Amino acid sequence: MSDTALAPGDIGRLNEEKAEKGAWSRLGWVFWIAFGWVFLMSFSALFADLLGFQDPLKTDLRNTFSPMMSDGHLLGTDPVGRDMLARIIYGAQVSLQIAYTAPLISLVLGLTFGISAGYFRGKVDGTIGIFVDAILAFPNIIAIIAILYFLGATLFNMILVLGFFGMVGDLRVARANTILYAEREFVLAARAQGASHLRIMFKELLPNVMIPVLALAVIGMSRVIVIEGILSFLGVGLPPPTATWGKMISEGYTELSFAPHVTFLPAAAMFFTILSFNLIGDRLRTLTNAKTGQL
Amino acid sequence: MKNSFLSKGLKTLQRGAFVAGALAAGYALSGIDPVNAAPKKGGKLRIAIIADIGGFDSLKIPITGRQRAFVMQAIHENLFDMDPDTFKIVPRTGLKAEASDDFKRWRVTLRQGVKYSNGVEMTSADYKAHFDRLLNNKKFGNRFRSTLGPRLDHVEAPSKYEVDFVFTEPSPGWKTIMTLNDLVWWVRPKSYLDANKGKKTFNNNTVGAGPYILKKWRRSSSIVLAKNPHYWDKANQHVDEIHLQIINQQLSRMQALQAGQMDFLWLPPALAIVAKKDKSLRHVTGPSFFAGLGIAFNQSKPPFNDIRVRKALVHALDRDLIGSVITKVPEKAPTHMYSAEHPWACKGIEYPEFNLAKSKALLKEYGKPVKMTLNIVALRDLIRVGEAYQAYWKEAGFEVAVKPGGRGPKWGRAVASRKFDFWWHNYAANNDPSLVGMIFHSKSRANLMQINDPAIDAAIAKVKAARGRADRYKASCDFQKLLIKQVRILPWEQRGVTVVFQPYVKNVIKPLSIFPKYQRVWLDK
Repeated sequence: MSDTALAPGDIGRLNEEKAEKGAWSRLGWVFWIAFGWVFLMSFSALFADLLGFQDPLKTDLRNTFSPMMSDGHLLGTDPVGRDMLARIIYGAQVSLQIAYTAPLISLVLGLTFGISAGYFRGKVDGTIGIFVDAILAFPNIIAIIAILYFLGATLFNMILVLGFFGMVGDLRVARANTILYAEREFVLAARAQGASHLRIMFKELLPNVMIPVLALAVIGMSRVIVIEGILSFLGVGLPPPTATWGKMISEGYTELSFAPHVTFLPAAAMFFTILSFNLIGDRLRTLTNAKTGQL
Repeated sequence: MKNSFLSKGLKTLQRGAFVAGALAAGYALSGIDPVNAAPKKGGKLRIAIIADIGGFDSLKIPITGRQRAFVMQAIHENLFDMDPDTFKIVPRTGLKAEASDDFKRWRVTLRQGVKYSNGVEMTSADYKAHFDRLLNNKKFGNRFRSTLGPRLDHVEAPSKYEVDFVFTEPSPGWKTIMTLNDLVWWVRPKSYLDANKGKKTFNNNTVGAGPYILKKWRRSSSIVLAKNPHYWDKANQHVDEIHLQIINQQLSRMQALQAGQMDFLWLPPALAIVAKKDKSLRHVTGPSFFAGLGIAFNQSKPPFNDIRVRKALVHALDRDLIGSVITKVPEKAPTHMYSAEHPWACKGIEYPEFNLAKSKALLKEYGKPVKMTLNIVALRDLIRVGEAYQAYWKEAGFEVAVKPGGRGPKWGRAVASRKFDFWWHNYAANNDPSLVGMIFHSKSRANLMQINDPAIDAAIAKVKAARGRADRYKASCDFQKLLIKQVRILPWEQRGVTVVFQPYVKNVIKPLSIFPKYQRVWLDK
């Protein structure tokens, strides 16, 4: 027997040590870097007015396309001389507001319809299934553009529309998990005790189904940031002069040859934020998954 | 002595060679051909346009449109043209035009022997049939009339080669208006109109008296024009085919030219500046016959019916600097409806200067908060300008929302419906003061700014009543001064039109409008 071989009982002891380490360390350093970036952006966006950034709407036409590290503008200026750093931070306000609220709406709608479909099955499941298929069959981005065109491109409308179209993924995961849990003993016991459908769904199923859907919602945050960026890039986002990352990217792409920072800086902010949300969501999903969580 | 003679001779030869070289280089760089260079026939001219044209029947597509006019000018020919250097009117399919004493009737004598591309001879009956069809159309008749300045009542054909244009009011500038590249001048033979009446395919093809005919039209992709075999002025018909490729992005158009995939383009000011730096290309700039771009406001209701608000709005702006948002080069903003090179340009007109303190004081005097929505076309450059305006006005105390909207005919319809109060505006053609006047007259349908001021109407009446160039010029400039004094317009851009082309493209005529005459060029390949 080699020195490195594990003795019987070692695996159990290792698992105990792992558990003692706690959930925090199991998340890993990549998770914490991602979390740190999201926290930094969220904090800066939330307290932008107090942190002394320049006015993101103040133009200076004598100072357009200033490069990075230029006088008074750490990240340079945009095509009408506005401070890039201020606009990235204020742009984060829009992106993060959408990122934190639209997936919440998706979550509520997804859980409601998903648990109903998985619990009642039959006609309810079939009807919701057709409804989901209809949403999936129509290109979401086209539908979102059309709706925003008629309702008006306000932040509120954008959140509602993105929330609505984002529910499909949550709904499917919620339905699948509900089907899984609906036949478990604790649900059968609740039924036997005469608990109402609403109580079973709310008290027994929701706490179990919500965990995997929550992990998905974090990934949904990055998805809505991308969609908001696409909408702004296409010119159907929030009206000017509101700073949004997508709009900032579109503002500079014709001048890429001599002022690349105008496009690349907001693109980088968006990239790191989306990557961070994805890494956080992925890690949380891994930990909440009963099988992969043990690996 | 001999040496000295030789050296003098050599020096003279050297000087001669230098002068010849300089002249050759000058010609090469300017794109203008030596006077006696014989035009070459044949070849294919490749041009990139921005959008498709929609069709050829003006009752189906009742808007002239920049791209449509660009294509149609090669298929149709105007009665008269304007010389880009002297601004004199030169005959084309019309030989002469004479006005009645009251300028309410203009008689045009047609050139005999002019044939359309289908071989039919052009006569006055074609003009009558064409104008009857347009002006008597219930839906668009008044719109067509409104593009012609003074109100055209009807057209008569007193003889085979004479056309009478009859007006309900004096039209002293009609001869100039006849040089416009506008849909009303895209005349087709009466027999063609009769034969195609009610046909669904009528919008898909056309015939004209211009140098080229439609050969192929692939919607949203390309248009191919071929030589009109019956063209009357063969000396000015050079290339065999013109290929108009539709490329939506302005930057891509220019890059296609730089890459040698295109031969000829007109470019917006910002790209023209970039293109002019490309030494491998040639360029020619001419004055714009459009009164420029700017902002219009509904002056029939608050707050824009108050001159203090209008003055406060313009005093808040550094217009010279705002112009550079698009071109990246600060340029003098226009002071009135004509650019400096325009034949009707007035001297000594000063537009209200940038003075923030004055603006704030006027706004304070007005006493009420001013909130407004600026509707602009959703183009990147226009949004930038809109944002710049917004920032300046915010500084002065105005509350302005910028709302980008649809582009193309949709924008035109929205403006024509008068649903905007404050909007990005193209002040339209300014070939002649009578065209400019109709934009501001209280009774005109083209008065989209809804100005209702007896002083303005009186000044326009003077422009219409004036006879002779000097009197008309004075009346026109008095009218311009009044417009600026009352701050009825807010123009931001009025730049010349630049065409850029490959060195082998010859006979490029200085453009007078945004429709450079590419149909006259020849290729030295």
